[in-house]
Amino acid sequence: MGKVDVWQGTLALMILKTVEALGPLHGYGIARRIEQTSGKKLVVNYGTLYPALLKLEQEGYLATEWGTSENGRRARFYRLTRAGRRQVARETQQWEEATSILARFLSPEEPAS
Amino acid sequence: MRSLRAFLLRLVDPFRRSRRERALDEELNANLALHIEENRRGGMSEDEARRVALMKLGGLDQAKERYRDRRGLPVLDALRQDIGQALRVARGNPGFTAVAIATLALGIGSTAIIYSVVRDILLDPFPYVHQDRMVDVVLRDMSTTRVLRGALPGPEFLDYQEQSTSFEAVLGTETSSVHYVSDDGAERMRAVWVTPNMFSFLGVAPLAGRAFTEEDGKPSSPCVAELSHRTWIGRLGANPDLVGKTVRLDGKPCTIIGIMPPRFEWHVGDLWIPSPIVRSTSAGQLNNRWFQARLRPGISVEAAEAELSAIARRRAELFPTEYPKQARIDVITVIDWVVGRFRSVLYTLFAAVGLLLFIACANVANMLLARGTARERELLVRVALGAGRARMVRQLVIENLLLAVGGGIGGCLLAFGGIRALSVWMPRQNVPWETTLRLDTPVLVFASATAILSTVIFGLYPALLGSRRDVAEMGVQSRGGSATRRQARIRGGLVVAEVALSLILLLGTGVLVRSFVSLLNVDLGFDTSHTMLTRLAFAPGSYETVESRLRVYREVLDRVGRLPGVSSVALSNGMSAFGGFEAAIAANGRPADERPMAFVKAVSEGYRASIGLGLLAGRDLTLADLESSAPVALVNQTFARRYFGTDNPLGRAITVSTSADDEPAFSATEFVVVGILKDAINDNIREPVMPEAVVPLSFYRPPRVGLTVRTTGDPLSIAGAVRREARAIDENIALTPPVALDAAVYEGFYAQPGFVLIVLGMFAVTGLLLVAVGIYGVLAYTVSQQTRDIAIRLAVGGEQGDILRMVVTRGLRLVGVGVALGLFSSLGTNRLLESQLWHTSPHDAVALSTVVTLIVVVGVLACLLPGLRAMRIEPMAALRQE
Repeated sequence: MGKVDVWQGTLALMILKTVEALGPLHGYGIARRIEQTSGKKLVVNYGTLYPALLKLEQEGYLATEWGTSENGRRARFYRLTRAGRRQVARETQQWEEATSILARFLSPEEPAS
Repeated sequence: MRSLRAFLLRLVDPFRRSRRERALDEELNANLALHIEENRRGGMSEDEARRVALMKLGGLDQAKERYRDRRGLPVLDALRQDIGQALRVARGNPGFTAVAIATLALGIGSTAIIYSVVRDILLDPFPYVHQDRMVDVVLRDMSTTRVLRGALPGPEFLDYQEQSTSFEAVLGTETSSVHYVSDDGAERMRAVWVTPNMFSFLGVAPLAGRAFTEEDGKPSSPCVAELSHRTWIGRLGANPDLVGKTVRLDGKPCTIIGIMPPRFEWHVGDLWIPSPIVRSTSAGQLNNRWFQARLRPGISVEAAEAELSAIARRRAELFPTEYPKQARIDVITVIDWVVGRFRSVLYTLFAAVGLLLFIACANVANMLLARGTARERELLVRVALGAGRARMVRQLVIENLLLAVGGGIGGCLLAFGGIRALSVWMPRQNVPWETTLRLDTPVLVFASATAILSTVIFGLYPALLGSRRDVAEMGVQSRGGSATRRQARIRGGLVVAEVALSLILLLGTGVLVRSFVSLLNVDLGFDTSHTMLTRLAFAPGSYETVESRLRVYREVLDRVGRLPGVSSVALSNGMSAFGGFEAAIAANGRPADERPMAFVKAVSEGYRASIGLGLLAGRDLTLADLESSAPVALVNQTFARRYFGTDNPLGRAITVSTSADDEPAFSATEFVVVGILKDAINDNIREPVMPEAVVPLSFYRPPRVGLTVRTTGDPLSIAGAVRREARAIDENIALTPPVALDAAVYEGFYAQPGFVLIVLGMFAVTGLLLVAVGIYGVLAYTVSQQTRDIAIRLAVGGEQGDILRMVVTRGLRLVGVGVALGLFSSLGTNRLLESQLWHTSPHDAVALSTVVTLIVVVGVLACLLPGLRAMRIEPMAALRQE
């Protein structure tokens, strides 16, 4: 299986989860982290990432501030807001429910009733 | 919630774009730098690291573009572009834009103005409750349509009130002038006696103080009065302490108990005094009241009239002398009573402005159609370059909306300004005193909506036409296709309609001009220039004896006559030139006639000279006639003709019998005719001259007299001196505000027709200009469409003259059809003007021929310009361009 592009709905959750796990992070860091976590199976396109970050910011789940990156450059850091934290919990739960339902359809040994 | 927050942020994005753009650059650059650094750490060369990083970014500009789409609202951005484009189009063709906006503004503005006037004068003039059910009841002479009896004597009034069931409430009103003396000197006030139910009848509460009650109206109660706001502000210095004060009216004390709000102008009083009606024929003048009533809901004017007529018939059997046989009860709504003939005037203007709005819309439509077709090529190119249909339609809608909004704003400005101007300039004659002109917002919205809709619809027409066709087909057919022919028909039709409507307007104005000219040409028979009029009133109880009254008259004449700049001065009962007593005359062996009566005027010796009446035979009244006990009279030509026929009236006696109510009575009834006056207008400029007799003032000595002063300079400049002289004789003599005779005559007879004429004239001229623009537009467009055909004709040897003739003929054909249609319709529409015309036929030949000539000349001029352009087409240059 080759590398796949991340699709929008899940990208938001991945971003939020990443920021939750690592604390304030710049866009490049978020992209790298998502790629690493996926075992390099996902490619994060910046043309998709930045609009997604912007959307989360506009919705109030992320806050941004300017800080200094590890190479000493000025960079924008994304931080989870309280609303963002609640959103992570909510989305995680929804996602888990959705996948468990889907898993039942996909598992071949599920008896038909 | 969250998405709403996001939406709002995106909405405001355009306002913080540049800062955000810099931030985006910085963020992406930081990202790039981090990436490059990491690649370098992975062992890549500098160039390699940058290349890989850029690739990964997936194109810097695409990333930015997607980011921007998320940041703002793409729809909004497109809209901004469209508006910018529309503004560029508008600026690129300033002539077109200006004409379109001005046309729309004129249509919208004038419609809003005239409708507001109609509403404030005809539909909703009064601040009173149930004004639509308020009626006047009068006794009218059917043979002359004159009012026989307006104020009804107490018993008659009460019979109508008590025996009828048509009315919910009845109010009895009579006005009289009272002497009001304050520290500033004497003045006359207009006192209005009303039945005590005035407040419940009119539904208006006083602004300050209290309303009067039934109790206040009892004969035993002390006199109380409500004060008018206008008088309170204008004449009494807006003194708030006035409420509760006692003033002297005709020497008797009366307490001001309240001040009425502005616009309360019932019978245009200065004061309103409660006074019930009594069943007595000898209770004096103030027991005669105007019968004004509120119809019960559902009762028609005709039903009330029938009921009252039946009551009147019963009374006529008991009191036959009160009801001459041509007398008839007339129930008329209060608005009709006040507005009278002005109603049809206003509706005429309203119809005219409707036509103008239509012409304006047609014209803008025409201009837009022409432009749309001319721009077909531009649209074609844009479609070919990939512009979406929806986006193109939207672009056109926005362009036209921009014009419409411009026109709407212009129209609002015009309407606001126009209403202001009108409220100053419109003659108050036949306009209720209660009327204040305000702009009517709903109609402004209606007119704007009409104009905007027609603009957008016609502006869109070519786009819709274009979008129905293929780009390829458009390319082939961009010249002379079937759709273009259909458009030409529409545009031709619009021009024909414009010409017809404009002709109707012009014809209406034309006959009004003719009528106004014949009014101007009426020989008044007297000289209005350099003449000042005022009235003097003596305080009640003063100059009661014959000698003292004659002495004070003489003193006024002497003192005013001695003032520098005064060439002649006279006293008369009532204002000079007009009116006088209505008296029945017995003469030449004929008994006194009932109606029509003659006017009798009592004057001092300088009367004829001070208003410049002509003397045809005999002699003028002299000082000796005023001092003599021999009664003499001057009569006018109409009088001589009516009562003496072909006989010579000089030296013959006439017997004057006036009504018993007139006080004081004449001290003689038989007068010998000593002179014949040239006929002069003495009633109304539109009415025939009434028979008139002029007798010496010494035989009738009223406590109020008109003063006529002929001056050598500006007549009003003498007013202050005249007032000082009167006060010097007796500071309790009251003067009414002086007027110049010429101004009074203008106000009375010419102001209203002049007003209608000017307003209608402005509409007609505007209409004509619009038509000229319309014709020009259509032909100019046709010529530009046919440039190639014309060039070919010229190239193969066609005559330039033929080309010109072809273009002009096409234009004139439209004009001709329009004129024919307009003439045909004006047969009907000009009839509507009949009531406003005077000695002029609604189909006046001079007006007709002038107007048709005018419109044809304008038509030819409008055709000539594009015709000449067609003639001068350079065949080679034009063909190369194709």
